[in-house]
Amino acid sequence: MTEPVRVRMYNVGFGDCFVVSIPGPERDHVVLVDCGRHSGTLMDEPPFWDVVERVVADLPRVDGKPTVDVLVMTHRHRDHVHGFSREELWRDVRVGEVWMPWTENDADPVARGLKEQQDASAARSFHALRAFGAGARPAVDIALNSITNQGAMDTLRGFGCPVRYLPDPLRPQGTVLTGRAGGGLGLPAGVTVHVLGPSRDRATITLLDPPPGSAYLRMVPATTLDVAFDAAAPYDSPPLDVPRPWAGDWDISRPEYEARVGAGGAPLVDDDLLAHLDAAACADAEGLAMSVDHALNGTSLVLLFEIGKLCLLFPGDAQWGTWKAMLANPDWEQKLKDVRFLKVGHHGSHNATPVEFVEGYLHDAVAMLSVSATAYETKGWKEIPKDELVEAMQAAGRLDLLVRSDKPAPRSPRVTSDPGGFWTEVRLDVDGEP
Amino acid sequence: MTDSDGGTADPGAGAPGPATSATIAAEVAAKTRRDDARRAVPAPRRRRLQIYALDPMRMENTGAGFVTPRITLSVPYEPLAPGPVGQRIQVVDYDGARRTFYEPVDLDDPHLLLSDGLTPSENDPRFHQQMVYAVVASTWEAFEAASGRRIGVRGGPLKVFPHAFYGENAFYDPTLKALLFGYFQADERDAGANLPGQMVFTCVSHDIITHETTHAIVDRLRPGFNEITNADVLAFHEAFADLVAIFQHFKLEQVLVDAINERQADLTTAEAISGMARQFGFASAQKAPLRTALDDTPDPGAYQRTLEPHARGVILVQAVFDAYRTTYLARVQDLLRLASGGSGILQAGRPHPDLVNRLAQEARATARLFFDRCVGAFTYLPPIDVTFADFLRALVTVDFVASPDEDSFRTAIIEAFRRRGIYAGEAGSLADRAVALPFTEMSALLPDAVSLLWTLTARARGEFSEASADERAIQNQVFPQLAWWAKQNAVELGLQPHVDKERPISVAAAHSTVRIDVDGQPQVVTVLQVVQRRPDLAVADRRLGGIVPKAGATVVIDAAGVVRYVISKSLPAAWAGGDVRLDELARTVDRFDRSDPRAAYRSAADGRMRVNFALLHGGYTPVEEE
Repeated sequence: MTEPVRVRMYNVGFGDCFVVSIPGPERDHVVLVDCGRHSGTLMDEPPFWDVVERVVADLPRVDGKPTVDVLVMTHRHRDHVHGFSREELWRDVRVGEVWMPWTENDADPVARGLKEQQDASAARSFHALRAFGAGARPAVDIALNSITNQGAMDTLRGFGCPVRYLPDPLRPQGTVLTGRAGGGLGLPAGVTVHVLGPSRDRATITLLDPPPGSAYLRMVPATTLDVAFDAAAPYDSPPLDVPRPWAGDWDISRPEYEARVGAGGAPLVDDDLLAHLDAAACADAEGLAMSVDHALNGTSLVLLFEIGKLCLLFPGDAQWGTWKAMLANPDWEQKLKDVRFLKVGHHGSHNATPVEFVEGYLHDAVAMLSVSATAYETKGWKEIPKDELVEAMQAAGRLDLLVRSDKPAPRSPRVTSDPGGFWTEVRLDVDGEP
Repeated sequence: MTDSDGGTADPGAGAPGPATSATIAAEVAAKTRRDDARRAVPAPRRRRLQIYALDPMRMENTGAGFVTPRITLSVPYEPLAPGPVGQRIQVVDYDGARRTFYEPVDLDDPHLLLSDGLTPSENDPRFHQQMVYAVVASTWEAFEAASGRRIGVRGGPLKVFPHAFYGENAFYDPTLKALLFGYFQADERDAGANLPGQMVFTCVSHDIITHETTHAIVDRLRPGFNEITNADVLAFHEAFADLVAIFQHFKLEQVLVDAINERQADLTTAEAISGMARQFGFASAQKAPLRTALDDTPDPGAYQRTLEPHARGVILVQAVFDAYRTTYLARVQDLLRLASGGSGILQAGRPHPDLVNRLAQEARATARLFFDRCVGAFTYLPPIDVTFADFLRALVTVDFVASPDEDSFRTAIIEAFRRRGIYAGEAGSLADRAVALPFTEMSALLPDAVSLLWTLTARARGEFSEASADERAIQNQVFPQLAWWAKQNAVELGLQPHVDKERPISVAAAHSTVRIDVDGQPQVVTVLQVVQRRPDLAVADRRLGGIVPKAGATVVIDAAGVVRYVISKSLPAAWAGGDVRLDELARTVDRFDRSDPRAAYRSAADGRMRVNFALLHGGYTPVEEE
């Protein structure tokens, strides 16, 4: 195999969509890793669904049909799966296998318990936050990102191909998948995939269980949860339908209240105070939204592809818990040091790429960072991407190339950009030296 | 004021002369005032208000059936507008979830004045307002009694929202200076002794109100503790608030008597005494009180391992409660021997009512001692960066100062902390004299400032109102003097020399109080909280994520202006080859960066390392163990 491997990053804004093309004896084999965009992405250039259509259109044809050999869903966040929520766009696509983290396996009782907890918490924080108006919108987006994304999941499970939940419960620390010779769908011979996460150990599972304890579970009355929301207008919400907490009617209006308290002096309540009160009460729901967000990121499937001498790492949005377990495993130490391609986790937020990895493992690599130029500015997510992390990765010897979807592609013979701005691609040599 | 000024400006006014209609009117008015004064009765000192004993879930078998026990609390009297709205506690019943106000209770209504307020009811929001007011006022008074001064009068009123939001939470918001209580439906499947699906109001739980009020008071006593600078800070907040709630249980007569009847001498094992927030715990699927102070088999390694703030805080609560139990049981040994014919072992069954009363008295007196020491310890805590070891040393020091000869409290405390692996590392010994903070005799030459501060304390007595203009004038005179002094003596206070912008020193708080010394003489004690910001270190040390580290010192000064204690948090804090304080700060920032779900979106310097009780109580906290 002397043809280079190509990794193409589609410009989905705040989200991930990567296509890895691996040369095989007869054709290029394709691994699609995620396809989604965060509702917090305000940018719509190029329009998201145009990008998804391009992804499908760009797929190689086998027997006349667009083909994906392995479709990887790293975790069930909207910014990683939303592209699959329009099933009609994927109807013609042939898929060899779908890979997902073990936490999506409904046949696994532990996974089912986690998922129930995550779904309930996401829905409750979403409904609670929606009632807080414009000030809570960034938090609503975070909650929305975690909401079941059931439509996308149905598409992913509906390709009529095997679905693998990884890692294999019987080999949680050492699941290895290998390519096969022959022309069928799947990975070609010579390709090895190591599943490094998500871990199944107790400590990690605890981190995936969004609210430690059960404190948030009744934040929103159960009746409210049954109300379907309009996905096209997720922010337009009536106030929460909280039942009157007692039998009698003690409700009074603000002027009536002020007249009762009266007695001169400074007014007890003003608009400013009520707004602050909302914000304070909202902090609780926001905490839940972020806890679920964090928990779902923690379910990320972490894959290390070994192709010839080339190692590519796709950590999804794995968080410190998963990284810690990975870095502690002596079998993986050398492989992580051999990584020459890194998909930067969680759009460059610093808790998805530990300093231990950057300082102790990363060298001579190409990194791709998929992030929106506008989401973090308008939403106040100043930490995505984290400047200190980007600087640390760019220290001498660590990265040969950093390709960011929010910045012009670096000039390099190894980088190609789509003239229409749909994607950027890097070529990676499988024979070792760059 | 212009009217009366105009009157006195009238030529001839005030000069002796023949009676005019004006002077006659003035004489009549004066006589009327005298008559009014004769007929008037003095304002009452106390107001009595009914509340639930603990919470609505606690049932008591009276023999004729189960009832929810009530109790009448006595709180300081102040005139109250409907709300209740007083000078420093203002209950505002606005429900953010339903966007409505609820009818406010008028506790000055003659009917309610005659009947100790409304009868407890979960179905009447006006009772909720009454109970939350009563327990906040009672807790506040306990703090003021223990510290010998008005607390936080000048910090503006504390607003209390008994039905702020729908949700299983309650918290103090330092920005709003407000307590926010949530309400929620109990677990549908298993709600303990609650009705499944029943509405649970956190604002009628004695423990929860006391706990949240304590957070509000600690915010006034030590605003510097709002920064999360080490693994103990959050845990300390939770532990201290739980301890106050638990020691307040002993003020509830009937709860004590029931506990003694249930458990005989060792009432500490009764859930009503050592458990925290039973109804909340059962309603929220935990199926047990939220936390318990009781721990028979302490694990000395747990303190090192446990980083989750509530679990870590429980270790401190259990240490203090263990010392309480030791002290109480030692104090009642004689009673038990008298009541048991010398064996010290009581017969099975309910103890004699006289014995129950005496045991209850001892339990209450011991609880009062522990509460006083816990509050008194604040005098000897640093202004920032508190640790359990700091609290240990402060507890021992306050006991030493208050009772130099009787050492049972401090030996029980040191032993109970030792059993849980909490030591005063710098003391180098477990002897009480070593654990107590070192005594200094630095001459401060601050008699003017000290006496002015004392004037402020004395004037605040009996008043809940905000500072008057001349009190503010005194403050404006004192604080620059104190700041000047702190800058002059930076090195003696364990700080670096003051440099504007790079190492600025300021006085964050100052107050003075009086206590009766062992020789019976009044001793005026003045306490300063000096803080030095270190932006120079924030720039140099990238591990800190932009957090500006602080040094600081609490300075205890006697009436003559002599500095008796300096409790410093220095920077640098060289110890065993590293800077312990900066290293711990860096570790804490790192731990939150890794496991705080907000870390992806908000930087450490962006307020993320400030205490947020909404998130802390909500159950969100970094849980990763190192």
